[in-house]
Amino acid sequence: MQQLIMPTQTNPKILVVDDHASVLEGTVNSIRQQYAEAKISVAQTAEKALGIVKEGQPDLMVVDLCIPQRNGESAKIETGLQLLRDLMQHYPTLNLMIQSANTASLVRLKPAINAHEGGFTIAAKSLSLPDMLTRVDWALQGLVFTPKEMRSGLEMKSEWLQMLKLAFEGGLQDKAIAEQMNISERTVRHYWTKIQDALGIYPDEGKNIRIHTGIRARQEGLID
Amino acid sequence: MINDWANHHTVVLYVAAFTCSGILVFFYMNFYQVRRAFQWWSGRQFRQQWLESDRIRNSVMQDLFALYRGIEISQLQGADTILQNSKIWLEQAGQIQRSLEQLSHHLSPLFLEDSLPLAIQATISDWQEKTQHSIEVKMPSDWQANVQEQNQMILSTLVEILHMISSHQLSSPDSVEYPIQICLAQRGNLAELLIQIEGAQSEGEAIVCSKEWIYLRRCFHYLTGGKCTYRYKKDTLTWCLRW
Repeated sequence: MQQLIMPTQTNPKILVVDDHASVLEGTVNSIRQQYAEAKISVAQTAEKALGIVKEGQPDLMVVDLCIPQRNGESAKIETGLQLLRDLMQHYPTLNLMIQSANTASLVRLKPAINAHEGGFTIAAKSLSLPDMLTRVDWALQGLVFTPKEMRSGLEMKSEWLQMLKLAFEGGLQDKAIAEQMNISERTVRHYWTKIQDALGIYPDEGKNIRIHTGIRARQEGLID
Repeated sequence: MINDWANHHTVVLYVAAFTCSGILVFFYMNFYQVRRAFQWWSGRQFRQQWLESDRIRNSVMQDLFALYRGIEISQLQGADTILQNSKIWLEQAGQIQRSLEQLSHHLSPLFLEDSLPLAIQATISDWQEKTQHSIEVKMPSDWQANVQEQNQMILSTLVEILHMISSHQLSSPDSVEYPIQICLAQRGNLAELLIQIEGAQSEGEAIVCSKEWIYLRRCFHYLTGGKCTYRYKKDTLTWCLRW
């Protein structure tokens, strides 16, 4: 059996949102395998989830897409999508992991996901436990992972290309890039996660992710 | 005299042209109406498939996920936990099996290939369980086998009529449930399925005036070669499917 990874955070605050009690229990138990000291709260409706976030932004939200708006109502994908729209609009740095059997619907949120500054990973419910926990860890790190089907072609924004040139042709570090582009360092890190997701690069043991990004960018002809 | 002859032929030509135009317009209207009916039918079939797919994702797959994760976590925690949780897993596996069995019946009703009366009974039983609506069923003990596709069309038409009754009852101000009777019989070389509802005067009128009823009738006619009609007697509305 594949070993669980070493988590980058040991006691994060995590909110899990799912309307199936057995699934909620399974997800909470799964997260506890890697984050034994995490403070985990749960919500079975979109309304309750928003209420909990308003009281204090968690380090990570694990969200199922097909949920009811409130108790007694039927679960709908549109409710989960609207919850994500609201969260990404009002909490732009919130880390999100979407765990659902309906991940294809996320393509409707592509522009909002591209603009989101927090971590955003997607985990189908068919993923193994180690893979699911890897996605949790990536989201906590602020990384972005979207499936290939959601990335149609290589979509590179002009500011990302500018940053690639400054980093790999100009040899600048994040702070200098931020000054040159007149943006915050946080935005520079956000651009890195977007570029890496677009190039299909994710943390891999033994690989330097920045160097790997440079190699892929050259292969794609984005930089000289 | 030549003028009379010419006038007479001109009139005949005008009448012929008018008649041909009328026939063309009739065929075009008929084609358009049939097309609308099939578009509606296709939309209904798509909706049914979507609902089944939604049930798989929101029920069976969720149960399977919970079972799968439970086993994975127990493997990490050791043999004692595996033994402790095995009873829960067996229950979850049983639940998944029952859900899949129900789903397979939705996709292809029980007895469809073998016996139309039994297929109707199984469909009604399922409907009663879902809606809690009481339905009296009279089925013959012997029945000549029909073509499976025709049986499917008859069952689908029956379910559509029940849907119409159900949705009109729900939307009526008093939401009273009227007794329904379903009867299958052989009438010479034709088969006949009767769906009777007593007392639902206004709901019945609303259904038979609706475009869904018109589409359903057309589809039934073109897909089975049979007829789908209705009649009122006192306060009883009877739908009659004959093929």
